[in-house]
Amino acid sequence: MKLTSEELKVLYRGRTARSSHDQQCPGADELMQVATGDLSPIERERVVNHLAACSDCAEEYQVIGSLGPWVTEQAAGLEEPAIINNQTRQPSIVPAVVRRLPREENARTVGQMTSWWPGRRAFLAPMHFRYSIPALLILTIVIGAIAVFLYREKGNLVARFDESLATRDRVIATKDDEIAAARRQIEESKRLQQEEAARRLKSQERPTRAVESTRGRPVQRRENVEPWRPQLNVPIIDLDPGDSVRSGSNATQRTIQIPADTNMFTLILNINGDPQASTYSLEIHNRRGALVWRGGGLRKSQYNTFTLALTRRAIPAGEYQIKLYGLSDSRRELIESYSVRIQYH
Amino acid sequence: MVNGLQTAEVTARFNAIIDEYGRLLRQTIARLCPPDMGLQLDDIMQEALMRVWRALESEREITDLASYLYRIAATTTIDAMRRAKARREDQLSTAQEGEGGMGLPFTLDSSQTPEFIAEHQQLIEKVELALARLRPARRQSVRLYLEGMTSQEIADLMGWSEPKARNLTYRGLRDLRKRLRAEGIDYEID
Repeated sequence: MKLTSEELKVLYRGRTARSSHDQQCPGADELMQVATGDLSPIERERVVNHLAACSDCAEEYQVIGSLGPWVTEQAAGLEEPAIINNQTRQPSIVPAVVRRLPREENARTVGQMTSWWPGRRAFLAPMHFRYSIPALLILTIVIGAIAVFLYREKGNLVARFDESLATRDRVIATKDDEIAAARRQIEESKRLQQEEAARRLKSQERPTRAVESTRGRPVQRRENVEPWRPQLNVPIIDLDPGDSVRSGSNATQRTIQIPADTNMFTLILNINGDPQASTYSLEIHNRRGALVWRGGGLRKSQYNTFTLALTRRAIPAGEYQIKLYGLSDSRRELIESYSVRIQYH
Repeated sequence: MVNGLQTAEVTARFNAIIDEYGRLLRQTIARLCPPDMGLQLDDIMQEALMRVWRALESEREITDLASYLYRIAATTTIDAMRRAKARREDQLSTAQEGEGGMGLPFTLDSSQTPEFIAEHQQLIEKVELALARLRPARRQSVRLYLEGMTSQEIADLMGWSEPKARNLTYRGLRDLRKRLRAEGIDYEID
């Protein structure tokens, strides 16, 4: 069996006609109040339920509703007569009629009913607060849960970051300790190197010949190279002015041979005549005439001689010129000159 | 003497109102009257004027006269429509009783066969049963729709937005079609 939409409407309206039910229909005033929104919610629900089940009342309601646009047009040009100006005012129902009565421009057919989501305005409509408020509560709870989760996650991240910083600080402290220890080791190594260098320098200053000649007698050699120790077998050489008697082939130069185990030797400077200088000084020049050593304060002995002790370190092997000066009346005078060749064995 | 003064004052007010709003009141009633019910505009206008007079006479406080007159026009017209329907149904009922009719709704008449009447009654019961099984909101919107309401009128009555009313009506009609199809009735939505 086929049934069109219009046939279904006719069928339903015939079923809900006023004559087919025993319900008490609302009065025309009530229908008007429904249209103007002046009924309480409970009364309004009762009347709406009746409209859904009474085709005559529904038709009458639509008749009232059809007045809406026309009321809007007429209300704009109305002025109240003076006859009621002295009476107490109450809220006008014209705006309510305009607001509540169906708007033809918004009415749509069922064929156009394709959108299932009523939109945000519908969601915020006063009648929908019972849905929107719980929805907002749920939304608030969800947002709060997310905020708490993010807050805790942030705390965990901060804790992990602090822990990593502490670990890094501990590593840095350990490295600092290691660096300090390394520096101490470096300083100790430098100190040891310096001491070793000093020892090596001291050892290098010892006469090579003495080291070589005293092979087999290390104790004796060490005693000879240490000047503060008592010196044994110190040679004493007499030097005469222009001495050629003991020099052999070289009449002007005296050759002095110093034994290997001897670190010091003494020269006795003999002079001719009896000079009477107030003080005496001595200069030692090398083969090239350069001054090697100079000293004053010499005293002439009762044997009309001067003595001079020299060490192996001060006078290396070679040819030297020893000049004796006398100083009197601020005048220096060469008294004697001695030419010697020193050889160490 | 007092009554006389009151009557004169009411008359003056009434005349002022008629002078000012008489034409508007008549136009309003004319717009409200369905053309196919055989209503007499003058009768309804007279009834409306009587109501205005009684309101003035009872010293009822009328604050917004235009609104009040719209209300008078609407309620008077509705009452006239109801009286006209009642008279017509009385006449139909009398005629059916005279012809031995069954007093069925105006969609059927006594000329239909008993089989057709039984089938019609069965169809109505299936539609009622299918409607009763819809979800409450969808059922209410579909019932209002079947009463001829537009989606905007449904929205105004139910306190919904127009898209919501349209959506619920559409879904309700779709559900209704499924249930009627299960009952062997092929209903097509416009």
